[in-house]
Amino acid sequence: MAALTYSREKRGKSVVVKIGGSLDAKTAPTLDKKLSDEVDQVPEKLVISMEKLEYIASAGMGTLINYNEIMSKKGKKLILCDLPDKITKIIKMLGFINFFSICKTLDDAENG
Amino acid sequence: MGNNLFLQKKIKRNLDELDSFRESFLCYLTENGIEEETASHFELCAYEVIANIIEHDSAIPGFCDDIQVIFSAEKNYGQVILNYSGPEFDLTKRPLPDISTHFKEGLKRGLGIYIIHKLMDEIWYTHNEGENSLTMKKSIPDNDRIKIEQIL
Repeated sequence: MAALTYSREKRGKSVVVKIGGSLDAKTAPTLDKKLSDEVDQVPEKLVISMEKLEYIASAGMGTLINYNEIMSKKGKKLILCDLPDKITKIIKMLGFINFFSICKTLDDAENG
Repeated sequence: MGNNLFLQKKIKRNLDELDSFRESFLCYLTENGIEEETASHFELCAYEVIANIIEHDSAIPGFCDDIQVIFSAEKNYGQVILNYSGPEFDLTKRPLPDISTHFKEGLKRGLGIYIIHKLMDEIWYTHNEGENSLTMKKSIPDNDRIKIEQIL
């Protein structure tokens, strides 16, 4: 399985982060650090595109839910988009789906 | 094992080892007729427990450092057994986090046990003189069972 990949781009009032590979016990601390650097740079929305994400474990879900809370407390939004079907299924099955704002595409997330 | 699936593996207590383990485990399950979604539940739960064991680095000197993983399936259920040395720690007795408040309290971790309870039907744990054994059992849908029998 691939290691975590991460790229970021500022687009207007959003910061778009694209993650891929594996978000698990080994890589979640890396994402945690990178998102912690982003929080104050985000004007309004932090959009996380997960199109290339192959795997997510509890540590990864915990990190995403935690940053959702952090953004919310700062009056900003975290939006997930481009979720692969298997990631959507597991997040739904675990009952975490309602923790997130989820858009189908990156365009939807940026314009919604 | 007759018409049953049986897999036994040993892995080192190292997160780097886990990537290849989970990939080969998932391949074994799906190649033997278990539908990808069910297979991914077994794989994720095994991953969660092993990652927890590794993170707590609880090997006892003089005992085997490896974690033994045994998967078997028969009739309409499958089970994963994890055998490892370490102090007694029964994660089945840990209270499940209330996920509606868990993250509002600033907690990031502790979801592994929640996931295991959510995805598996039964979990039990035994400890005997430094050796721990955790078993996770889950029913296998009939369609998967038919595929398994055809493959075997």
